[in-house]
Amino acid sequence: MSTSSFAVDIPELTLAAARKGDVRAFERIYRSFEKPAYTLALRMLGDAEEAHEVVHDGMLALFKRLGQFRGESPFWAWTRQIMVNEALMRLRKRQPVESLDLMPEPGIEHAHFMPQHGREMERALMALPEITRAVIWLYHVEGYTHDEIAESFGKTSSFSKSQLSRGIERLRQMLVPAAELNLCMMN
Amino acid sequence: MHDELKPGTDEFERSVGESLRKLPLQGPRRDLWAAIEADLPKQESARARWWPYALATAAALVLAVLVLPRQGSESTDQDVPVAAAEDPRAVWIAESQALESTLRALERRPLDARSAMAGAELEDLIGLTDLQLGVAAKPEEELALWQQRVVLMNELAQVRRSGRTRETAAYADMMPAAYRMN
Repeated sequence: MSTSSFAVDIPELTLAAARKGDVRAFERIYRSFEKPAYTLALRMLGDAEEAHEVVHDGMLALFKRLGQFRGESPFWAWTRQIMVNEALMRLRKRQPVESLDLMPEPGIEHAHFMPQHGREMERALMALPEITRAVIWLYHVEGYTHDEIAESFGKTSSFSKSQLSRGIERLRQMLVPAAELNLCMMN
Repeated sequence: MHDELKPGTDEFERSVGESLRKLPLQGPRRDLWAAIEADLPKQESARARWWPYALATAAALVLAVLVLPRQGSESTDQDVPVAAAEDPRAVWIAESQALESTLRALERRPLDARSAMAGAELEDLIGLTDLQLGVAAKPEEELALWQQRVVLMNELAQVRRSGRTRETAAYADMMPAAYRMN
């Protein structure tokens, strides 16, 4: 069973109504995926405004292509792939980010809702280069395989494996000293 | 199944994955629905505006399917005589599904700007066909629309594989700019 926050079942009746152009049915679909889609875009892009645009454009693309959904995969997975593609399209348009120092501070506006450990993790994640961050998120949170990530990025699975491995190593450098400190304080 | 948590995934990576999955979902800072709703294509008016174009396109395509020799067709399934099939609609649906895979495989081929635009127009036409399929009331209407979908998908595959075609140029010139998305 998927741990993805997208894994929500949409009733067939709602899908059928949306296919026929029922705007209220489409709104129900939007409401079901609003938070998972925004979270995914925010984690991949690290920018709230761009994440809004991804959700907006992704939902319009979803509506446009609803008639092409044939039920070969769960509807939520199809929806998620559309959102991933929208976010990747925006990543590709950006200038390459070469220095971690150039990365913006992570979105701290929600930080006070999180436990300390989560806040540290989020801060470390957002300090990673965007491509590396996106690979880690798709792999560990959305449950994509390396082959699926490679296909989305138009690269080989070695690319995905190497990004993941380097990203985890960077996170280890950023987080382990703090974890060790906590351990010392507990002892 | 995810290929993580396999041998070789160390404890630190496991705990990273677990912590990331525990991060709370975040919602947009503002309600995006109103803007999305405003930008949704207006189905009724779009259909009304498109109907003459769709009819003309359908007629041309049916003529092309029945009369003109097929070039660059994606599959020999299309050569199955429709009348001979038990369910002709199923033949075209199967053909359409096969073409979805072909198109996915060709999706990332680089295209020049005109070809990309022509491809986008064809995608829009396929989307329009899907909308029409959603409201088709009679079996013969549905059959014609599935045939139309297959022909359009073949055209799209040809554009993605080798660039612009004469037929595509005709479609691109027919499209009212107002319908274009992006």
